[in-house]
Amino acid sequence: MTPKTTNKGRDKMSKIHLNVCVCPCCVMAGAMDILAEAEGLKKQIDVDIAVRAVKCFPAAKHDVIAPVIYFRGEMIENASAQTVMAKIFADERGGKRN
Amino acid sequence: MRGIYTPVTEIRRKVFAEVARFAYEKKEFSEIDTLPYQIIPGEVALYRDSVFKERAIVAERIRLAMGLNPRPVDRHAPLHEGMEASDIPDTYYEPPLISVMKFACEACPESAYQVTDNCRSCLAHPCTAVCPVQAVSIKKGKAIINKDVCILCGRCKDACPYNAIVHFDRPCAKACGVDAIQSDELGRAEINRERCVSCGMCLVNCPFAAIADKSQIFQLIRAIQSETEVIAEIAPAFVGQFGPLLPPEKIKPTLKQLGFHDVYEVAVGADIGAVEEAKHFLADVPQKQSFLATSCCPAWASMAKKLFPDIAHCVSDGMTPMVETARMIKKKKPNCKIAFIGPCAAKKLEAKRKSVRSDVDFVITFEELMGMMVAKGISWEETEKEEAFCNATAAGRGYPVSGGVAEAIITAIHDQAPEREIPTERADTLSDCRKMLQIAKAGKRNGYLLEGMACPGGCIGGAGTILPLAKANNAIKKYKEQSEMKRATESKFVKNAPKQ
Repeated sequence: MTPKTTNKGRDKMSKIHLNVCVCPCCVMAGAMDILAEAEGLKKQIDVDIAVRAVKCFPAAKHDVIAPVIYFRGEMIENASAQTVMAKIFADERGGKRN
Repeated sequence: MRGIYTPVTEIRRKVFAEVARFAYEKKEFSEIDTLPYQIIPGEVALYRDSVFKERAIVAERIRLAMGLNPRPVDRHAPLHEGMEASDIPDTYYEPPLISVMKFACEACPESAYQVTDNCRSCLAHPCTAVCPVQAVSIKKGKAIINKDVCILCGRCKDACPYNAIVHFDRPCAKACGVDAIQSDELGRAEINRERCVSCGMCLVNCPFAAIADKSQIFQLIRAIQSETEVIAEIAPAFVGQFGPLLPPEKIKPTLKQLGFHDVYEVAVGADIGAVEEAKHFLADVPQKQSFLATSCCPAWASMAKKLFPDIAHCVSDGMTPMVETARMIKKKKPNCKIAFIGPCAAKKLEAKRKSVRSDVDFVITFEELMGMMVAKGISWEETEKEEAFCNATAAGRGYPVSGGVAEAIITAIHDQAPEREIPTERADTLSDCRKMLQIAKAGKRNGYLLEGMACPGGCIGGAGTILPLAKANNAIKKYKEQSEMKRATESKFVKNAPKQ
């Protein structure tokens, strides 16, 4: 039987903070879809992740770099649901090894 | 592919933003030839076999976004050909609304059953035994379906123990609930204009982005730049569409930043419509007509009239919320121009009807509005002013979600006839709407209130939306709960309504 992915044993520091910028450029470039995918993934797998919609200060021009996300504080430009999910899974695997 | 952001979505939105920017910056038409290079930069094709083809398709999209027809493929025509004619502060529109860009269409095979690599060429091979026309045979270690003989019954698929046989339809044809997608002589998709109701589902479901509708953003921006007063009326599905930084109370100031003089919520017209249809139901069902079908979705109403002429009189002839709201505004300001902003492609066609043309001047979608906001460089974070909409009720604000229209009408009926029981049925997507009307035509829905919505989940699943369906549903639910007035009859715009 395949063991279920779990976060038991990982300390509170390991919680993933995923912040998604929702400025006009980022929303046009699919920020709401990234939020929906990340929230959907959270329901499907046992991963300790806080997904938040944020605004960038000062109001940044994200014309060519949208959508912008912050994964554990690291800024990622031209993100997509695919790259975000890959980050979450890579982080999850890394966490288990620790 | 609603709710999944794909390169198709990306290109569509980039085209809207660039065309809007072009209009705002009042550039020369000769400069428009550079836009495809901005949208598809570099030398390497990202989505298709050639970067030149990608740019050529984007160029056609730009023409459609400016309200023009695609260019003929068999003769030289610069991108800006004929664009001067579209440079007006008024509606510019050449039918048809929705076009297939032929050289972008991959001519996907029509409905077929296909054997996949899962086939193990098993000893039993029940697929051959169950085929009534001997279309399935085993050759070179694999089942083969002779498509010339196959009658698409699906028995082979059901019998295969390895799920090795799959059925597929062309995505555009599958999404079309009125069977309007046919094939031309080269096997490419072609829209049957007699059947099409412009719901827009083919254009959001084509994985090759080969179908697009015309936009009016260019002319709308020209009208905003002119002396004319342009007033926006925004469909109730707007809630949440632009993300959490643009809540309903910031929509008005934001649209004013774009140049609109004022903004009304179409939910006000929905309240009026709900009460009118409630009166219609009480007066005519079942005495004069066997059931009442709602009228607010133009694609559904148009489909009912085209495909079911025998029962077309049972579709309410009441004004849609868009028209109701527009007339209300034009009564106060007869010289203004009205722009309807909504989730819907079919509304663009509705606004071209003779009876509606003088009421609604422009129709754009949420996606197109988004393009305008990005082009204008609007910053929602800096929009501190709040101006809440305070005229509509929760009933009108619930219209865009499947079931919301019927709920609003039933509540309004109960305000007049509390004892009356109203059997109701609702359907979303045109294929389900058709099934519902077939049953109604057979006389099995007498006395019913039938609600039809062409898009999945209601207007929130419309072709011009931004927000994934579940999020849109939640946003509208929350907004309804916050509404001070709950029933359509409570609206101050509804005249002679029985108050609860």
